[in-house]
Amino acid sequence: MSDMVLTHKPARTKSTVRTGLGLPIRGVIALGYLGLLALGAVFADFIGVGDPLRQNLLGAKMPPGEHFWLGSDQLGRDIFARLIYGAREVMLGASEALLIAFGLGVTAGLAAGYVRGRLDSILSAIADMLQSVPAIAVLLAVLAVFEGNIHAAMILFGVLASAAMFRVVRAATMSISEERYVLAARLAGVGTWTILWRHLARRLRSVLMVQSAIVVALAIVNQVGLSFLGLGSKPPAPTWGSVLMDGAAVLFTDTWMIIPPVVMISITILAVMVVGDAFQDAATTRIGRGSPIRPSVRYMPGAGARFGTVAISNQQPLVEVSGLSIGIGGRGTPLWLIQDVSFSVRHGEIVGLVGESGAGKSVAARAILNMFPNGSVVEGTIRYAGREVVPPARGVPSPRIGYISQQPMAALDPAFTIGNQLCEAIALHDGARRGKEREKAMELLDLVQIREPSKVLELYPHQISGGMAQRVAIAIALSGNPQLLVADEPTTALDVTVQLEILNLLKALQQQKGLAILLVTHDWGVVARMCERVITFYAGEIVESAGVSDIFFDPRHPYTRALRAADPHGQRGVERLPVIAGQVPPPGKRPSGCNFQARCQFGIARCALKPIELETYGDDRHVRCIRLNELKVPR
Amino acid sequence: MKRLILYRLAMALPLLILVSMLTFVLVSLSPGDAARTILGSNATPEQYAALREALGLNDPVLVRYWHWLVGAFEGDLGRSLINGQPVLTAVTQRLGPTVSLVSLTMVVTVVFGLILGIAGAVFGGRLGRIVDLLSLFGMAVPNFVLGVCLTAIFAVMFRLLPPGGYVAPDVSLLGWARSMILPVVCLSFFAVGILAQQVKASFSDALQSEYTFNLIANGFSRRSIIFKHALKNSALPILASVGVIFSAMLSGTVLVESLFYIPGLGSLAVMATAGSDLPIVQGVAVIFTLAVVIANFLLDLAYGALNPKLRTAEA
Repeated sequence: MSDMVLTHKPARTKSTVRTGLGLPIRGVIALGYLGLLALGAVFADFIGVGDPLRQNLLGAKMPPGEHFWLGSDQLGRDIFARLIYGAREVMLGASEALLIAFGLGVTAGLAAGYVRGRLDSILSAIADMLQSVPAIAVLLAVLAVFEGNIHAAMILFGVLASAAMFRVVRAATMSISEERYVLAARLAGVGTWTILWRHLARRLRSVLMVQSAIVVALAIVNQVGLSFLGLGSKPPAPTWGSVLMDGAAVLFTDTWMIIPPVVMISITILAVMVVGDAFQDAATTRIGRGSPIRPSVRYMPGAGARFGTVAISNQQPLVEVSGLSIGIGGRGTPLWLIQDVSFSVRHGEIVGLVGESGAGKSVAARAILNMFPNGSVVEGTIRYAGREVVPPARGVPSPRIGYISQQPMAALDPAFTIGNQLCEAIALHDGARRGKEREKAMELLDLVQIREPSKVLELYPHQISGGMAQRVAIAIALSGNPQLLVADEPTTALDVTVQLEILNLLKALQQQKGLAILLVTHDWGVVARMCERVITFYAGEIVESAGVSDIFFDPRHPYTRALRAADPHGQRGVERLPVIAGQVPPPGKRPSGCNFQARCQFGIARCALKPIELETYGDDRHVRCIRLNELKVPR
Repeated sequence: MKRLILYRLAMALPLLILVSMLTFVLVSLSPGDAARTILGSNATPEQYAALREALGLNDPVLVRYWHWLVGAFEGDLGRSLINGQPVLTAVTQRLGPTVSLVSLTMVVTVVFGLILGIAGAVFGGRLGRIVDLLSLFGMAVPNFVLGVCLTAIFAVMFRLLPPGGYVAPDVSLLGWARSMILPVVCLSFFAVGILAQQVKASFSDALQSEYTFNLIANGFSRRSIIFKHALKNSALPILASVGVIFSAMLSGTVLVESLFYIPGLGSLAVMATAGSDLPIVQGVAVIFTLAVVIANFLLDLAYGALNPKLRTAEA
């Protein structure tokens, strides 16, 4: 039993450059500063910091210099000594707050997350309450009673701050105790706590560090603030707040005097925050320019195809992709997601893009919509309806191309009604018909065979089924009367019966409206039902393109053959389903020569020599295999 | 939705009772009392004892709390121990400056937090990094530290703005605006950073979502995607963080008002604390808590209006 549990160790998270301590450098520097400050404060008596209380009216308000490192105040006291000794109280107070917040928050969080039920609701309600208390108002009340006792205030602050700690621990405990390895151990009645604790400790480490840093930082802010107001330890006790207050009192004559406390306070809080931040998973920090809505894309003019563009047909196609390569990464060699992709789609034709996940078929399909991942390098061109769309021409609006995706429920904006979204799409493409959007929306819903369209217009996406959501998505995609619909695995997430309805709808739209469809799929059943031509992708390249009957009855590329053999459709009897051994080489790990060589049953030494060209085979067919002519064995 | 509102209401009462009870227990622990304050130091012990009896100060704490609570519902929050002024009068007299300060700061925070956060999410890269840094520095430079620095620069060195004081808007609108600039900047610095980071995070999530991809792919305008779709979808976490910021801002008034000599609730609480005038401290604490409760309630109503799942679940 315990063996099973041990094998479920989650993978270690990747991280950026780290030092020996497992922390980024900034974290080590900040930690070093805090350590030094702590040592200085603790051993201040022995390292000749000076007396924070000794007055010397002759040496008052002396700027920083040889007598006083950081100058002296109105009473001639050494500001540096006062700050170092003041750090004692700051650290003690912050530790008190942290200890209380940590102890209460973690205990209550573990209990609520593990036991759940009523205990959880009670504890959560208390946390809600604590978080609504305006902290300083209560702290002031405490200080009014326990005059000048900053420790009482910090302990109370710890109680208030435990609510945030509680939430974090509770959420993590809940999610972990739901995971299978814990459930399994729970059912078997074996050492649940041990397992829970081990995984929890790992998961919570970074979260707790960040939360702790925030608690400490806020504790310092509150503590210094209270002593700044004169409500903390009574003078002449050295506190950071009182040093700042002393400086502020002579602001008009000796402005410099505020600089030492300001710098000390800010740097210390900053260091605390940086330490907390450094423990946060480095994987969460995004590097690079651009954003999802403004991706940074570099078009490489003139790069073009490695082997020249393959003219697929003499007729002018609707879409013409030539020599398209898309890579990720700025300087140096990009990581190529797809390479040298050329294909075309004719008017009113359904073309299938097939291949395993990660083969690059979606990347290629989305490129037609001019949508690239952030940080892309794009080579090659795409023409649509006789116009170049990639690279995009400046100042020209993009043409209308419809797009539907795999997750119809996630593809609709959950915050707006169907009618709102659909009408916006219509107004967008049909500006002239303002005021008539609703009418057109009803027509479109009718077109995608939705009954009671007027009722559906009022609904939100979460109120409709997946199949209906996909119909709505199709209606939105068709709102601009496009000639092409890019459908990225449109039926994968749907029930089998609904899949059929959606496919029939798409077929009907193609036949009624002459719509061309580029269908990305990995389902041969869908290909057989829908497509006229099929383009097979493997590891970012087109390996074969052919008419649908050729692909089914006479596949030429060894990969397409293997793929066809592995298809569960059309399998008879009880024979074992053949699988393709090995894995698709990911971008950056692709071999020189043929990408499929390692898994190919016909692979020979020559396959590894140089990149393989896409060769024309017969009429309107293309295959990327150097042994194409040798392998003309009948199946 | 109904459940959420009921939950908030059920929560508000214990919260108010908790805060008032806590402060009340503290009051009962404090050395000074109302009888001593009213009589002054020349009264005989007999007079003192009689007044204590008359004021009910000899009753058990819980009984006195009950009396206080009944009085509080009728608007009687007790009297100041220093000058015998009714707490409610003292508090309402000083409400104006605090309302000015907090409402202006809220406006500044929401405007700049939204602009910076949205810009950070939309443009990413360096601008996004700036938002992160701003929230880091907002934390590292507390409002009173920033206040001292800004006073040094704008009031002492360049003499552009008054170093403190408050001018009521009905006296001089310009004077009011000038007296509010530095306090508002100090109080909003931290809040802008926190809000901008929250806005940036929620916006980035919304912009990376499947529906945003679909909207872009189907040619929706960038402006509509950002200011209509992403904005409404990220409204909930933003509102939640506005609630937290409001509570923190009330706490901040205590320091900022004292620093800039603004006669508001925060500085009143500080003076009362220094003089151990607990009824006043308690009064301010109750008013602040009430403000937080009302703010949270309004935010919940906004949640309901913005979240179709909550609203439609009502039926």
